[in-house]
Amino acid sequence: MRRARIRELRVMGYYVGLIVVMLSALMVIPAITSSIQREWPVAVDFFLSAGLGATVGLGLMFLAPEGARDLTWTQGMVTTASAWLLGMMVCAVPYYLSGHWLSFLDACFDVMSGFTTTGLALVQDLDHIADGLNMWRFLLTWLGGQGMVVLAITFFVRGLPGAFKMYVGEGKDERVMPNVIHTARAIWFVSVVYLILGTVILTSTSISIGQAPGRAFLHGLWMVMSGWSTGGFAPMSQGVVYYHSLLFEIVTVVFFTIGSFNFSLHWALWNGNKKEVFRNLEVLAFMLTSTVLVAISSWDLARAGVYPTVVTLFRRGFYNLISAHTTTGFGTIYARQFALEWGPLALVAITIAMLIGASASSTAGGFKGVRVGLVFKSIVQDVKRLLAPEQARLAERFHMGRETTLDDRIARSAMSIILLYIAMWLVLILLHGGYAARFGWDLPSIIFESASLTGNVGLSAGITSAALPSVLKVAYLVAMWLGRLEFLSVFVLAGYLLKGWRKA
Amino acid sequence: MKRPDKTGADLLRNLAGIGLEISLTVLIMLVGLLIAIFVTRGSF
Repeated sequence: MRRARIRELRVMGYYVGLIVVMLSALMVIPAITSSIQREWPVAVDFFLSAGLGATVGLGLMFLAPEGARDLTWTQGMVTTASAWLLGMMVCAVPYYLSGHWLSFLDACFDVMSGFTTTGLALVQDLDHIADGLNMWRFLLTWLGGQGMVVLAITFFVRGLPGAFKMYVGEGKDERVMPNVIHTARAIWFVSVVYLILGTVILTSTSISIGQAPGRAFLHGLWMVMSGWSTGGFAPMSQGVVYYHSLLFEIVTVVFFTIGSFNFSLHWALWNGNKKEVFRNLEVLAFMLTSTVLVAISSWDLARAGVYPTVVTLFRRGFYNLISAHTTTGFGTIYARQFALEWGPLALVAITIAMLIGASASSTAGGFKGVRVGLVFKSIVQDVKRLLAPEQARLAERFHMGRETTLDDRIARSAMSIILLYIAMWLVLILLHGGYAARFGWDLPSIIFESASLTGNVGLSAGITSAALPSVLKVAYLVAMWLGRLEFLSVFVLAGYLLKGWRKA
Repeated sequence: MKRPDKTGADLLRNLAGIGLEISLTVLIMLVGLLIAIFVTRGSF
C-alpha cells in the first residue's frame, strides 16, 4: 500500500518536475533581454534561478525512473494544482534576488498574480525595474493566460498519457479540437497570431504618441501580452494612464476584449463558422451584461457629474467597466478614485462585472457569463415546467459550439461554481473586515477589492500594497489560485493531502 | 485532422475570423459610445 502511494507520488512528481523544468528554461528569455540591455546583475539572477529550477525539476523527474505514466483524474488534478504552486516558487526566485520585492512572499504573490492573470502587484519602484524583470512579469502573465499545462502539452508533454486530465485540472474543460494536443496547439496558434498582430499595432501606436522605437516595441509587446491574457500588469506604475492616449486605450480595449473570448469561439470563427458569433450563449450573455452594466454605471457617473462629457465618460467609465468585465484590470483612473469619485450604483455595476467575468476556457476569470446564462435558462425551464401540462416534456437548449440540452447536471454544476465564487468573495470581505479599523478601509473599497480578487481582475481600490499583513497576502494568493483553477483541482489537492495525512 | 495553417484558403478564413472578432469589439465600443452620448445628452 505504502509502496503504491510512493510510486503514485513519483509519477505525479515527474509531471510537476517537467513543468518546473519548462518554466526554468523560459527564464532564458528575460536573461537574454537583460543581456541585450546590459543589465548584467539581473541576467546573472535569471541564469542562477534557471539553474536552481532545473535542478529541482530534473530531481523530481529522476525520482520516477519509469517515466511518464497515465494519471487518474485525482492524480491529474493534484499534479496541476501542485505544478502551479511549485512553479510559482521557482519563478519567484529572480524577483526576490532583484531586491524589488520586499520578501519572498511578495515575490510569490506577484508570480501568482501573473500566472492567474490577476494583475495586482506588490513590486517596489516599478518605474525603475530592469527590462529583463518586466519581460519575466509579462511572460508569466501571457503563459498564465493560456495555461502552463497547455504550454507543457504543446511543447513538452506531447504524447504523454496524463495530458488531458492535467488540462481539465487547469480550469479548461473544452476541447477546441478532438485531441487535447491539437487543442493546446490551436490555443497557442491563436495566441501567437494575436501577439504578433497586437505588438505591431501597439508599437506603431506608441511611436505615434512619442515613444522611441525600441521602448515603443517593448511597451507594445508587454501591453499586448498583458491585455490579451486579461492580465492587467503594466510596465509603468501609472498603468494605462501613463500613455495619455485615446488611441492607445481603444487598441487595448480591442485586444483585451478579444482575449476574453472562449478559445472554441476563436477557433470556430477562424475556420469560417461565422454564425457562431450570433448563436453562442457566452457572446450573447456578454453583450447583454456589458450593455446593461455600462448603461447603469454611465448613467450614475453622468448623473453625479463625475465625467460630464462623452469622451471622458467613454475613456473613464466605459473603459474601466469593460476592463473589469473582461477581468483585465487595466485602469484609466487611479485606484482611490473608484472609492472616492464613483457613486454607489456605478461601484455596484463594476463589482458585478468583476464577479461575472468573461468566457469559460479563455484567459479570463470570474464565474463566467456562460454560467449566468445557464442558471438563467434553468430558471426559465423550471417556470415553463410549472406552467405546462403535467405530461408535457420540456427541454431547454443552449448553443456553445454545438446545440446542447440543458439537463439538471449542467445547471447544478454551473450553480455550484457560482456559489463557490460568491462564498470566496464573502470570506475575503470578512477577512478584510478584521483589518479594516487598523488600516482605515471603508466597506465599498473592501467589497470592490474582494470582487477584484475573486474574479482575477486586478483593479484596486487602493487596498493592495506591500504593507498588507502576511495573513492577507497569503489569503489573496490562495484566492487567485482558487479562482483561476476554478476550485476543483485545488480542492482535490487539499483532499489528497488530508487523506495522506490521516493514513500516516 | 486539419492542420491550423495549411493552405491559403485556411489563412483567408483565419483573417476573416480575426476581422469578425475585431468588428465585435468595435460594436461593443460603439454601444458604449452611444450610451455615453445618451446619458451626457451629447455634451462634448
